[in-house]
Amino acid sequence: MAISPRYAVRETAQNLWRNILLTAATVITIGVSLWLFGGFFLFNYAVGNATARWEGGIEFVVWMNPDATPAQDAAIQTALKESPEIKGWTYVNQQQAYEEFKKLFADTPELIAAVPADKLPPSYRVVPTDPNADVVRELSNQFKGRPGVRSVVSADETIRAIQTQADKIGIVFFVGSIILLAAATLLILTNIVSAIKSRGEEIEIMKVVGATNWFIRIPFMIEGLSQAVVGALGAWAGLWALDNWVISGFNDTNNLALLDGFRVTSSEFMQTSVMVLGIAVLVSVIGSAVAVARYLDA
Amino acid sequence: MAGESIDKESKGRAATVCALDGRITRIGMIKLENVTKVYKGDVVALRDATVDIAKGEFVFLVGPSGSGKTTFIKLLNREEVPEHGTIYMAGKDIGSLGAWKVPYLRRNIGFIFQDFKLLRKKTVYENVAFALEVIGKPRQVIRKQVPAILELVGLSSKVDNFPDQLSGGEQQRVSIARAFVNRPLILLADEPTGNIDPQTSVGIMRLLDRINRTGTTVVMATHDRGIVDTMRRRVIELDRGMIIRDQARGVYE
Repeated sequence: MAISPRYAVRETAQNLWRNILLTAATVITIGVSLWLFGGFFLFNYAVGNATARWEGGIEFVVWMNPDATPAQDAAIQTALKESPEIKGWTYVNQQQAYEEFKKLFADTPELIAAVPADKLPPSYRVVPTDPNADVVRELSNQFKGRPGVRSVVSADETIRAIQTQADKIGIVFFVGSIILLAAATLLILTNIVSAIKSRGEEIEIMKVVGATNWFIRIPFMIEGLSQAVVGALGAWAGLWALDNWVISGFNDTNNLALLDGFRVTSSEFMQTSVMVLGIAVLVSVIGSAVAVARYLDA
Repeated sequence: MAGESIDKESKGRAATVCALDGRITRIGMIKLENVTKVYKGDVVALRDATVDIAKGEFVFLVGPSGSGKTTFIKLLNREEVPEHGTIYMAGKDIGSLGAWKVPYLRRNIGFIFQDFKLLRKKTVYENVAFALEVIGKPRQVIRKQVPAILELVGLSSKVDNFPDQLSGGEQQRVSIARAFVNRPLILLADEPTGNIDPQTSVGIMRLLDRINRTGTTVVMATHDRGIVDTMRRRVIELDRGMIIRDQARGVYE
């Protein structure tokens, strides 16, 4: 015979209320750990989006005017080919630039609709033989102001520093979140063990009169799950704030032009949210399962 | 020798069981075959016990503390499993039951505790209803069965009382109501009068006798000489884990 929803809700609520302080501590720990965990991913997405164009050793980009003539293009290509300090380069035409633009601004379709492909500048992504910042700066200066060239942006030390620091911050977030998730799992376990012990006599009677193990376990499992879900909702709100106030803030600052593209797309935010919820469920299942298996043996 | 200690009356009864073996097997409620239970540290709680208890019997388990009475009851409830031997309940080997089937076995066995084990924060009605609720009985069944059983045990006027507002005897009546509300085939009682005065015990025994007359098999562990001698029902005496006496209409001794 199945457990009645009324019974499950009543027992779960009683369990949670009985240990309200421990419940609050558990929910907060889960929330913070999942926020850090999700924050790690959002930050990585944002850094990845911001620095995507610098991947593969590209140190500077020569942006052409969309209406640059073939002769102006040819002159730039000749200069790139002839320079011994240039290891290689890639030409990104307007259509390819548009594809990148669409990917980067996937969450703002009105912007994509407003910008036609032929308005986007083609570019040369250049890999110098020597990635030294001074060399790169000097080399990029050679292309500035040439006919047809709109601008030259170099991946100077700032970008490299951002990548390096982002990696470090990411590791701190990740390790911190894993430690906190372990703590959250233990707190869920402790909370449920405490509930099981405070209901020891009740559980003994349930067993004696023939309640099934699942009937006894389900309220405790739901208890763990509800703590994790509430924690995950708090984490989700925190992630939303992180995305909308902190990460988007970088985009709104014109002074950080190099960080143009430091943003998280809707689909990336959705993926992170689903992952946070999934981790919450996993943590609660592990914590609850260990508690009931260990302390509710038939 | 244990075998020599079993009195003649009991031997006669055993012979009846053998002669009617086929029939008895069908109506036999509890059967232990060479059951031995050993706890950690090689403590033998029950040694090579063989017993047949028919449907509707009332059996007293007697013997000093540590003689194996509680272990006997725990084995019947599948709280413990024997190291050797087989236990049958209504013809089924309960040792071979999967763990997930044990709760269904227990729904056919009522259990009465010496210390009542009532839930302090639940009323009399809620304590009894709890036993049905946790096995998933519908609310309309609970609403019908609980008042009926409370009337049987004489507590209709105290349905809204909490255990602390009841006397020891009344608390034990609630415990009996909870054990019997699902109309089990077997009622196991571990020292049910151990925590109450002799006068109140008489009332409790009358109630158990009444339940027994409905066809429910009752197995009761007790130290209460007066009750055993008055009731004159089957007595199984244990000593250091061995059955030393199995006597129909017996006394405590």
